Formats: sequence, structure tokens, C-alpha cells
Amino acid sequence: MEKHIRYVIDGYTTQRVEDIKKGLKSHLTNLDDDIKISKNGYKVSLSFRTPANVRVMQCQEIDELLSKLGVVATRIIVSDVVTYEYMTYTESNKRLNVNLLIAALSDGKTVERSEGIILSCKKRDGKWMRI
Amino acid sequence: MDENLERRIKTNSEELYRLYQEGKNLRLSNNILAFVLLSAIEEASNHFIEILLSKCGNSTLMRNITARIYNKHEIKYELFLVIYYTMQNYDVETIIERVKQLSSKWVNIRSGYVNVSEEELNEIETYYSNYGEMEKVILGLNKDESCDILNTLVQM
Repeated sequence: MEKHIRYVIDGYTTQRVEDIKKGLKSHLTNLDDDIKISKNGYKVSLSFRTPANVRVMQCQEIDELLSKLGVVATRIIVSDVVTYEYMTYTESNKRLNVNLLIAALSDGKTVERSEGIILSCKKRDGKWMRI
Repeated sequence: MDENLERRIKTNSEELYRLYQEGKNLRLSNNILAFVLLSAIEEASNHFIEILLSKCGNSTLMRNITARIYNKHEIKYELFLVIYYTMQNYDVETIIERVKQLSSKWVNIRSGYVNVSEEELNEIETYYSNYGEMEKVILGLNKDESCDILNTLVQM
């Protein structure tokens, strides 16, 4: 089981997805290849993770970093996550198999499960507020 | 308040389904009927999220889920379908494959990019017809399970 800190960020950008990805990797050296960026019009969602033993970046700090890459962040969610291999087993009772459901939602045999949000904030009137 | 909201969203979904049935009698086009039916599924998915939120009771999760998920159709379809296929106990790869395929198809149908056939319409209705069973299963989850699902959803 591996532990990470995952950052999920919503915002706006006019930049290309590939350029944001490249920029993220060059500014944050401790990221692995698990970087997801989805863009719809000018709206963008970014998701990346760092090892669990590094310092958690604060919202203002993340915002400053992203603005260098041309991304205006509006919401930031930081969570502790664990990754593990999904093991198939059948549940005999009629209850919903939540492990299977989470494995399916997190897209594969290697399941990333969130252990909870450690920091979340939203930009309001130009200032970051904890929510 | 939460319980009230839950009930209202459930009623919305049921009303949309009734609208679909009436539209069918009026011989409205398949594309319009599919749009109404998919809206009913979105509301069903919202209903499941509300149940999970009230079971989990974490206000930070609630604020973030509400803001991030409520206008994302694809995630709502994905959640609905993942619950459906998990209940059938398919293996994880099959679930992921089917859910991806179907949810993106539904997004295209909802956007009016494709002409919906009679068969496709019936297929969507079959999924919706499991709403009651799915609700029961979601209601049977405990606090930790509900929070775990929501924590995964908020990152999608």
C-alpha cells in the first residue's frame, strides 16, 4: 500500500493541456506520472499527487505556482490517498460491494482510495478561503 | 432540510420518468424522450449522492461535491452505472469498460449529437427501471462506506 497526497484543482486557462502538464512537472519535481488534466472550453480541472512525506502546499502557494503556468485556480482540494491492488472476492450477502464500486470509480485494478480531505479552499473576492 | 431535499430530488426524477411515459404516448421523437429519460437518471444519481452525503455527514465533502459534481453529467451517469454494474457483481474491468462506453454515449445523446433508435431508448429505460433497487442498496450503506464513495467521487 502506497500513500500520497493528491491535489485536485478547478480553474480557468487559455493554455494547452500538454503545456500545463510540462509546466507542472518542471515546477514540482516530486510528482509522478499520474497527472490528469481535463479541459472543456476555458474550464480546466487538474489532478496530481506528491509522495505522502513531503510538505502539503497551501492554497496561496498552489495558486501562485499555477498562475505561472497560465491557470487561474478557483477551487483546491487536497486529500490523503492510499493506492492498493484490488483483490477480487465475492461477497456472499446482498449488500453492495463498496470495494468493487470504488475500484470501478477509480478506474482500474490499482485502486486509489481517499482517506479524507486535508485541505480545501475556494477563491472569493480574490482571497483564498478555507471551506 | 436534507431529508426534504432528498425527497424533492427523488420526486423530480419520478416526475421526469412520468413525463417520458406521457411523451411516449404522444409519440414525441426518440431524441426528446431520451433527453427526458437521461434527465431522470441524472436526478436519480443526484438522489444517491444526497443519501450518501446525509449518511456521511461531512460538511467539507458536501460543499465540494455539490460544487464539483452537480453540473457534470458524465460523472452522474458514471455513478449510476457503476452502482448498477456493481450490484450485478461483474468484474472490475468489465464494469469500467461498460460504464465508460455507455456514459460517453449518453453524454452524446443528451447533447443531441446522435439519433436515438427505439432500441437505445428501451435500453436507457431498462437501466432506469432499476432505480428502486439501487436506492435500497444505497440506503443500506453505513457512514464509513458512504464517506469512502464520496471521497472517491470528489476527485473525479
